[in-house]
Amino acid sequence: MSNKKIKVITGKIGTDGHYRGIEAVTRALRDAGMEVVYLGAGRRVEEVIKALSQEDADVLGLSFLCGGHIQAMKRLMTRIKEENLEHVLILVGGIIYDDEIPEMKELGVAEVFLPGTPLAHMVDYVSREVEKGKKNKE
Amino acid sequence: MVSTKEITEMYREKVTENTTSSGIPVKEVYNPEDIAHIDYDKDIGSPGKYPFARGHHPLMYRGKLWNIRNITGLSTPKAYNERLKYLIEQGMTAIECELDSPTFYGLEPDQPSADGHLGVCGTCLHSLKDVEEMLEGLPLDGLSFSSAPSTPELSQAYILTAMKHGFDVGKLRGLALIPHFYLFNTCIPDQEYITFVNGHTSTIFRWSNDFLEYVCKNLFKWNGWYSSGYDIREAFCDAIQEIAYTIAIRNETLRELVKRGVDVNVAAQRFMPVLCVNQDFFEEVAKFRAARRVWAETLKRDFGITDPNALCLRFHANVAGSSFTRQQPLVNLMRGSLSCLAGVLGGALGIQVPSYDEAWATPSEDAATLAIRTQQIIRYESGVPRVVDPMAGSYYVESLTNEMAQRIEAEVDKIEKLGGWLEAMRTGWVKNELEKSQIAIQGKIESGEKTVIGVNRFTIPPEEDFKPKRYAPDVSREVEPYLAEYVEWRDKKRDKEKVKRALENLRHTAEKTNDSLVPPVFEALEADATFAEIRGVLRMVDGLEYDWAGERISFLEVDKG
Repeated sequence: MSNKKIKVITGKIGTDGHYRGIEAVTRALRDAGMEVVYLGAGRRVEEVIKALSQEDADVLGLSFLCGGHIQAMKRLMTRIKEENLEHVLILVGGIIYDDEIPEMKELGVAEVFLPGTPLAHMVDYVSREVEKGKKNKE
Repeated sequence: MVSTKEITEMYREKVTENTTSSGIPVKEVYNPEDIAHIDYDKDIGSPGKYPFARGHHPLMYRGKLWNIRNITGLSTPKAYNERLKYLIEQGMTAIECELDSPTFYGLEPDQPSADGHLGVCGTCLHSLKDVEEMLEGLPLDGLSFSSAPSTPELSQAYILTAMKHGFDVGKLRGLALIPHFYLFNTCIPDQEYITFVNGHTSTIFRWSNDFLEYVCKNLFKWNGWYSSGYDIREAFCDAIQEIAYTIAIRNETLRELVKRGVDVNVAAQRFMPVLCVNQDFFEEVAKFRAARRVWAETLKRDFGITDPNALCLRFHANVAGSSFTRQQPLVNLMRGSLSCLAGVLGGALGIQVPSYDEAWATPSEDAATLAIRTQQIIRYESGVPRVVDPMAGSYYVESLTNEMAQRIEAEVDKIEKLGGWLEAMRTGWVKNELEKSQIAIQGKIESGEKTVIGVNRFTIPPEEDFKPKRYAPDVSREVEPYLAEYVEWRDKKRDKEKVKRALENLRHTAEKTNDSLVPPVFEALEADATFAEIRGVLRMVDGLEYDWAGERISFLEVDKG
């Protein structure tokens, strides 16, 4: 088991200023001892890709509260594949309709967290899945 | 089966909270001695009398009921026009127009970043033509209209539409919003609503102030500066901060208008903030009463205002959308009615109740109708609005009102000592304060100290939960014909020379003069410039990228090339 801190990138892509949820998640992950780079709202796909490569991140957490998530994730996942960043654990949270969750997972999103999910649950999920990923690599 | 121990505990459960949501300690019971130090004439005042704690008008709802101003917006201008007509038939008395996010953020609807957002959570409006279509057949001379964007293009297009139909502009009712410049880029890490560029306030910010000045001088029934408290509250702060920050922003805006030669007694009459009604019932009622008092006292003390009409706070209240849960969504109907009641008892001039499917998708017609019905039950069936300020004289409510007024005033004074709101924002003080509140409030939910029904207590498995009908303009494809027609119009049907001349003139006015940007924006809108082009040109004046998403190049540059 490596002692390297889990590194997470969080933020919001595109035209959605509802930042309250993602900031709460960012803080919870930081409080749990992870290294979190918060990109803020209104980021471009390319900015996210750049951050993922430069920071050598384990996890990407994005939040969507006013639509456009399927389209944004399609654009992002295409670029993630092109840049060989598929090892990053991709997580999405926010206002996502139930029917869209399977579609999100097909795109390569590992998990979708809906409103009301306890922060502790997300923190546990991230620690567990990153460890699992590292073991699989070894 | 429930055990004896469990049922006994449930039977014996008691209230354990001993503070309000903003941390004011409360006793078990309040008595006459708790309000003995409060002076009725000085600290409360009769309804319609300074310092207005009991209300803005002597008759309150016996004179005029509050407006049912629910936030609406969806799909295309045409579909939204139909929904508006339907909701007005159902009893909505005023409009708050919500925009989809590409419109809100000044994008063109066909650029990549707008994909999937068209008509979602709001309507798409990108030109004067769209606004005309949205307003088709509506009685603009009787309707009170407000809208969400911080930049004035939509309000200006609304005014042009009214003129075209022959309505007297001086008689239009409405609300013009500019406050996001006092919030964004500080509370929200954002790339479009830029308040400061290299330490100076931006050109788009100047345009908003120009528009506010225009409203003060020409639109006598419009209220300026519509929003702020609601957004700040939803950005995670408590009831005291919400009102204190709202007043600090008012001070800043008022100073700007005075600098522009508007009489302070005239300017102050035109301020109407939107505040938030959250869940702590009595604290919210006391907050509104305290807000009116501190609002009046600080205007008198700090600005020397004497006109009673200018001293009196009139506000609209939005029920906190963030209090609505995805789990057990029908329970949101109860949350909405209780908060709406607090707004009514607090003396709001207008109230918005969110739709119960808030945490699911763009509201369906059924959900939007129930949000109107909630208000109508209180209006017509409850008997609540019958008597002015029925909470007055309650030992608890008066004591809490007084306590909140003192705490709000202390917070306002703190910000003024920091150099005023813009300075507090620029230095990061505001952001820091909001972060502290965020930790405190979220912590209470996480620890279970604050019960959220269906989320941390009385939960049911998601598969057994009620699922609202889905209304989704993005997947129903109803925006596609709109988009095709819009792009065809923008690229092929406009007189491009005329658009270019108008945009050049706008840029020139912004760059080379101190003149108001309102007239050249009117000219650009009439020349068929799009909303995104107008904002883009004004961004360029500050040396910013034409399109914040980096996906379009300037219309002006294309033609030069």
